Amino acid sequence: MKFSSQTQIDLNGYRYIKAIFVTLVISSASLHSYAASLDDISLNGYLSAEYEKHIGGDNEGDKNGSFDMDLIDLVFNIRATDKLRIATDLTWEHGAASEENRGNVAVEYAFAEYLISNNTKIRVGKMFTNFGIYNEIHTAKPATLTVKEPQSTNKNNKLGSEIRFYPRWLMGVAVVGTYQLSKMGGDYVLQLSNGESEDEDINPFEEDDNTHKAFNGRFRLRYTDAIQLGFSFFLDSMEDPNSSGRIDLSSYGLQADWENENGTGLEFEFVLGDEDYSQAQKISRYAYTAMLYQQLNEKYTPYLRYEYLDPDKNTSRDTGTVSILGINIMIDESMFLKIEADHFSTKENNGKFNGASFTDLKVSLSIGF
Amino acid sequence: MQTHVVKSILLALILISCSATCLATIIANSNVVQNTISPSELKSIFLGTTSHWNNDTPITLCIDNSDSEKANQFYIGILRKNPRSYQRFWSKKLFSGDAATMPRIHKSPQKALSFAINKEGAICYTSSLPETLPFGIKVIEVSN
Repeated sequence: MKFSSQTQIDLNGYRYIKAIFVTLVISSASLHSYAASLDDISLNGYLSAEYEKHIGGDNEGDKNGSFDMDLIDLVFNIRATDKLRIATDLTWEHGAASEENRGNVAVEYAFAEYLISNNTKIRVGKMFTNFGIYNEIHTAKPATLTVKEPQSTNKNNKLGSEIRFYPRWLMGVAVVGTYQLSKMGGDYVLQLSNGESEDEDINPFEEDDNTHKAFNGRFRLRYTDAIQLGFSFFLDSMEDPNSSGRIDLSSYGLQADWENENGTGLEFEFVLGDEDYSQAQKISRYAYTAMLYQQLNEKYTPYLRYEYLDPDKNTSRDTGTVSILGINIMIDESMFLKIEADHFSTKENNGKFNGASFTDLKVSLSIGF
Repeated sequence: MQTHVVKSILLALILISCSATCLATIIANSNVVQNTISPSELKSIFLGTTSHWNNDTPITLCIDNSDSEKANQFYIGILRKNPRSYQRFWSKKLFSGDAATMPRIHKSPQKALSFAINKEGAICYTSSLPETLPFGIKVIEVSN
């Protein structure tokens, strides 16, 4: 049988339309299976812009006075099913512009959480290290009173330590949940992960530099309505990039916070730990931070914070302290202006500031949405 | 100053003499299985300790802030937090990845009702109820 050219075109056209139709049916079926409706997706986030200037003391800090487009973060939560949640926080820091190699774009966290019960949820993905009071909210400026998280307990490598007490982020699995003990409630988290890598060529969110897995956790107990107590730990072993040896990292933390109904509050955190080098001397260090604040009314919350770090107990005169006096002003429901003076004081053997003492003015505007 | 003192005394008297029932009018989406909850369960839900109903439906929260004095009684009397502390508490939970959403704050009872009707698993505090309860929501009794 011969087809005219017109028939051939028509038949080809028919097959073409049929193929498109089948493709659409298949893709719509898969969309129906996997797509979350808008009702199941929530978008939140925060923005923070800062100004920092050296205002006194030794020649450290920002002499020029600089504006900093600190960050904008978008936080997505997707309810794939009643039991399954996908959560991610995407950040653009310091006016990220990849063409100019400026700033930073990062996934703060991206994990799937599956509900077993209110007491038990399983997470898989990149997560913040659950340790102490601040690590999981260190970028979430609308959630904190101060401009920055405490350096001594949370960013100790910026105050004289070789490496941090624990890494910011982890890739692995976690079990989280809440519990009720009589009238006291609490929560826990246990994380098993690749841990951190000191080797710059290895991405610890993709591969581990050794067979040992990092293990950490935190237990918090709401002792009364006003008082919460917590204990954290972090244990890891990693390759030492400066030798063929290993570094065993262990850190332990205690936290306590109290706040009454009038908004008078006290926060305290203590961290101690070891960097145990197989081919160098062990470093033992500890740090603490304490903050007192008082909500004067809905708008104004002045605060006072003191931070202390001993980067190596075997090295004398290497300590660093930070004293902060500031005020947090709520301009609108979720818009906060923070103004503070940060006084840094270090001893001459401090690895970061070598004995310098100076004061910085820090101002930030943070908005949550 | 005197007004402030009188208000504080009145609030204290209410808190002392009142059970949770009179501090909180709680409504929920009609699909929510529970009809009664205890004050401690209510606190656990509004503080995010309980994130899912017994049938695994995720809980979403809303607070009708239209009557700020009554809302303050709910914040302080039940949740034991002032409104600003409550906001910061939930900001931490949300931005740390611990919670999927923050409680929705509404400035009218109608919006709270509408939220509770339309959102499966929703539970809301409201300062007042209409004479006839709309279809799609129910009142949750708070009692021991």
